[in-house]
Amino acid sequence: MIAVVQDYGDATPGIVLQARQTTPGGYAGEPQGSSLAIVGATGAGKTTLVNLLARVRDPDEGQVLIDGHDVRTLPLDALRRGIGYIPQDTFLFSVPIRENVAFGRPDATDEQMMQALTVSRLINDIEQFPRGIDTLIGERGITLSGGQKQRAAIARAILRDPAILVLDDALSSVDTHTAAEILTGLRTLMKGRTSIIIAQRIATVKDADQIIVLHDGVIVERGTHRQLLERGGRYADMYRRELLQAELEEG
Amino acid sequence: MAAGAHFDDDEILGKAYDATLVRRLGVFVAPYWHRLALATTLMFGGAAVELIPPFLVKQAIDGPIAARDPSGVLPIFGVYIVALLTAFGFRYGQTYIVQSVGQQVMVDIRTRIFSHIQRMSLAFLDRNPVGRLITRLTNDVDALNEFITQGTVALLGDLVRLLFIIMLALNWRLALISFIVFPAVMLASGAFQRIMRTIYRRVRQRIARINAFLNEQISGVLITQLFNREEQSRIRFAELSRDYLAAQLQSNRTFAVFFPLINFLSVTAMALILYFGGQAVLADVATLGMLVAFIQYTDQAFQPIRQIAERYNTFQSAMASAERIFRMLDTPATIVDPEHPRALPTPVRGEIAFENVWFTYDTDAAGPDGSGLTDTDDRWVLRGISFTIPAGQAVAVVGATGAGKTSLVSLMARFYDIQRGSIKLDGIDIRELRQTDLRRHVSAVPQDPVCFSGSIASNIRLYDESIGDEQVRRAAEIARAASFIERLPGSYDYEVRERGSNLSVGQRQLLAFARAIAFNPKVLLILDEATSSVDTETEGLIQEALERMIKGRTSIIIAHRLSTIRHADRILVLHKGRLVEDGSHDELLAKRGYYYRLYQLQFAGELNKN
Repeated sequence: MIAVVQDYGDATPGIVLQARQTTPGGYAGEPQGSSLAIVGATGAGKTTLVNLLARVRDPDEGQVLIDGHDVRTLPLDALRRGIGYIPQDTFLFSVPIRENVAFGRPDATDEQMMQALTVSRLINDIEQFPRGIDTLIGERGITLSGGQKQRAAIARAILRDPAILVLDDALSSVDTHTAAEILTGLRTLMKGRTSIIIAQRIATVKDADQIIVLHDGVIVERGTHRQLLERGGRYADMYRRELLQAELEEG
Repeated sequence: MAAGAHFDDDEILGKAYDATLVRRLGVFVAPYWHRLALATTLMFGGAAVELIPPFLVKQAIDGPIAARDPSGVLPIFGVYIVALLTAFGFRYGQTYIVQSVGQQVMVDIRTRIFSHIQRMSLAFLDRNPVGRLITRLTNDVDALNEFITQGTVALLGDLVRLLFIIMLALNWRLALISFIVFPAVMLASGAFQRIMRTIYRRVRQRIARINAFLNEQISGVLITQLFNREEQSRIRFAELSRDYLAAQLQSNRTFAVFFPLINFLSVTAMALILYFGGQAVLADVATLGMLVAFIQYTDQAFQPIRQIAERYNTFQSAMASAERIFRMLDTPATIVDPEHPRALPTPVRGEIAFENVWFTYDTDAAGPDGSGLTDTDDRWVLRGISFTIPAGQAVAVVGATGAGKTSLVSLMARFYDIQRGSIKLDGIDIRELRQTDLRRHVSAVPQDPVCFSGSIASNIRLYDESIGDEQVRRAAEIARAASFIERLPGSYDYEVRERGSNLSVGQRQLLAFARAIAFNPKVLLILDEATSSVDTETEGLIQEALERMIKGRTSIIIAHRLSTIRHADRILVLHKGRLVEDGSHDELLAKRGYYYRLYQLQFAGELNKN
């Protein structure tokens, strides 16, 4: 899956992504401080697309711009310092929870730590661990559940106080109720900052300022929830299917 | 928490010689005893033949050379050549046989470890990272090979003794002179071994720390990069490397002192022979030839001492490896087949019963019967769960994160054993069944499906060649994996990389679905949150497949979505390890209890937001 990104040509603050050569106007512009959601089928290239942003991969053609700068021209550490990334597959190190959460920001104060733990809803779980936040995890410590791991990864990303927050299907193991709480917390936290949310379900993304629909590596639709529904395309289809399911449950 | 059966390299102290370990290795070597006996014979033969050349030199010097008779040297020269060739032949045979036995034993030990790991429960595998287990199978087994092939070194001491006897027999005065330095040699060797033992322990611990660190850092390199932690990780790694270097340098220093010291002693021994031996020759107590022969014998006597010292490290690392390997082999398989397994009724009906099931992952604290934990302990994951699922019923398990849903399902496939209560399939406790019998009827789609490197088709049929291409295709179609597979280059022949890294999580799940269907479990299908990472479109297709799959099979489905619950005949509601409610969707909603609230929070949320 190759996602090719093209120059937006305009030094607007924000992120510019495009997922295939020269579809006219096929870019995805992400103005500063807004939220972008990416939806699409399994294997559509969602993860690849956000990987280009933090330069986990480089595009084969085209470019990714942040505030008008090609990410390849930015110092790598500065670029990554600005991004809080919550990957699809959670990886935590075999060190205490505190160290894992403070991984990207070892100098964080207790207060900042508490905030990150609160927003990520990990705080209640921590009270149950034998040594609280200093409990060792991994092989010689305790084993976290899938949801706890994801929430630890969320805390780790927000503690960095990033300019751009990326959630790559990062709530899949968290129950819907907790996920909603986390999203609300994040919305407050990310006010004035840019966030990118990858999700499988429209319910998670419909409040985003802009939604792009990826299909086979190409952006096929772009707009707000309302615009996309009016357009009556793939997004509207996905939405209808979700609604239909819901109706079936009721009936 | 996860103490017990994990093999921490740090704990291995690397004993230089441990009779128990050697005896246990002996068990693996024993089948090849006749070949080893032959090798030993060859070695002693070779050593004996090597004693001849110095003696021939003596004969030449004292005989024809002293008599100034060049023609008399020729036959002695001939015998000399024959002796050398014979010694060569002996050495060749010995080396070849010992090495080949070593390789054979390695194959045996590797196979043994592999089949042992296969029998281990998930609890064991949770605690032992893959890297460590691979090290057991590769590096540690290799180290053992050294031990076996160099094991003959242990016999070198006997060769020195043999040499001494011959020297004493030839000329006891010269022999005593060359023995003068040997007490010093013994002292030096003793001290060397004592010091090396301590240093070696340190070297092992430090390399183990480096390995553990590398293992984790490489798996988590994406996180390190994204969080700008390269520098800190590098610093930590440099620290660990420096510690290792310090230990290695200590070891090098010890060698640097010991070898010149041994050389010094050997030269001293020669000098003493020359000086006192020369006087003895002049006093006619010994012949000149005898003196020359003794110089060579003394040199030969020092050879084994150098070899033993050189191989000391190899020896220690082999001992440490042996200790780790045996510790692993000694970890009993916690999930074992009963001695007298019971048979499932034919045909299997698929009735499942949980009776007062208590379960914790903390087996060390709980003990086998769970008496180590009180009923109120937080570490219980499941607390007194009881329910019966009649054959053919589809049951959805719901609950908040951490309620014990995944554990409940893992127990049904006996990935872990419970501490209290019983789990029954068709009225028989699953611990009384053969695991193969149980799992033939239980197909599980896990939360994070595993893919093997190989083609898509081989991932679906999992080495079971009785599943034909057509069956693979049909399974993929039922699981709705066919559409993405056909888009891949080469479709069913597409090469899946290790752990399925070139497939997305959703694709891996679809593939796991196809695999479960291909195996057509007669009775039971367990789906663990399998639809959680699949997009709405694909999920719709899977729902149809699900409906067909659960027909006529007892099914337990961990549900995170209403759409999944829709297919269930009945819902089990878990809360903090307890079964709080049990009934159909409508019944439970009417009850307005925990499920009702959970439904409002988790599932109705899905509706309202839309």
